[in-house]
Amino acid sequence: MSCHNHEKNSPLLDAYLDGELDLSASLALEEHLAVCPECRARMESRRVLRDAIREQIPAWTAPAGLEARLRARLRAEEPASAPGLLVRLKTLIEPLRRPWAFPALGIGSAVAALVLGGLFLSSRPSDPLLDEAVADHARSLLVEHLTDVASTDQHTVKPWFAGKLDYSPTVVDTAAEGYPLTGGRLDLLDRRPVAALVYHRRKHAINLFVWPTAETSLRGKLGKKNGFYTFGWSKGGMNYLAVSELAEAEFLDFVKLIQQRTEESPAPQALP
Amino acid sequence: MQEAFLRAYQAFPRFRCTDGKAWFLTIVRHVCFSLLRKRRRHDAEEPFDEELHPPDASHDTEAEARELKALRSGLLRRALETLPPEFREMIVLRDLEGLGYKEVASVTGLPLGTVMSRLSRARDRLRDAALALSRKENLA
Repeated sequence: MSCHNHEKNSPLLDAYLDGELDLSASLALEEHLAVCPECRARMESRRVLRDAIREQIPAWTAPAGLEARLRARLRAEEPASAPGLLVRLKTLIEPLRRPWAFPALGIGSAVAALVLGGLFLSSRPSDPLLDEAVADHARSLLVEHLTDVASTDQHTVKPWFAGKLDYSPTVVDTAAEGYPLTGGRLDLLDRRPVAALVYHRRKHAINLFVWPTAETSLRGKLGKKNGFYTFGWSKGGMNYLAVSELAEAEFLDFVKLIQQRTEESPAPQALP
Repeated sequence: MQEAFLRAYQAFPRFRCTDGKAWFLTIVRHVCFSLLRKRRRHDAEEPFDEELHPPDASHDTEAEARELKALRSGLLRRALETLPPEFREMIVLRDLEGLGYKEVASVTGLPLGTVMSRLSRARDRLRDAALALSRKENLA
């Protein structure tokens, strides 16, 4: 990281403090901090600033009587027996029958002290692995740190991981089909370092995480989180998890392509 | 706030399986900004001019850290209220509501990179505003 203008580094330091930098950007920053006392001092002052903001500014609370006023207005606008209310109740209850739809029900307790008991349910955490993968993907876009090794050649990308991981991921090239490989990156997922292969479709990046099925194995399933699609599956002792903001049809097209091509190529091997 | 809850309630049938908190905050934000726009039309408030308020370039970071820790209670909150809404919302969403960068991006409709740099600048501005306020009050 360059150090010519310390003021310019503030966003990076902030993102690091907020835990929003990806693994390799964090490592690069830590390496730099180790040798740059000026940036260390700046980091410390960013930390003080951030902590001061969080500690000294109290969360907003809902004004007294808000709930009563709301209920009154709702009653005025819509008699309790109106069909609209039933529809809404149904919308609330239906996701409860489908366990995978749980994250739907947000608001409630979480919206910092806007206490309105009963109107909404509070949110449930969704699959932590998918959350993590989506966060990794988002982070890789955030600091323009998509790739540690930028290459469209699978024979460059695959050996790059040797020595960095205890397995060798299958790397297939799908450029001919319109999804060129653009590089690879080391990332953290499922409590271990994993290979992140980066593909592109026009300007959109696709992260394909590949790691051995030691503890987790994935059932082929399409998910959507924060506007990103995820699709994870397990094959030949490896987990594959694709994340992208591509449209659903193209995203599935990519997944299918990778599934076919990884079957054709020799199975990935664990290194001794 | 009342308006936001009503809108959320009315829009609930359209709400599908995403992050509830972010979804609701998007509505709150929308309502707030349309109220702001209405108010601005009445007051013909001057737009914030970046040129007139250049960010303070040089800092004695250690002295600043001491000052920040010793701020009178409520001062940071008052300083926050002086920030232009575009910066204030960054602090509110990230530091007060605890949203991740990606969630802030989805609530505000800004690109992730913009969220990162604007949040950082918002913190800079808040620090500058708080220190200025604090020094002024100590003089008075």
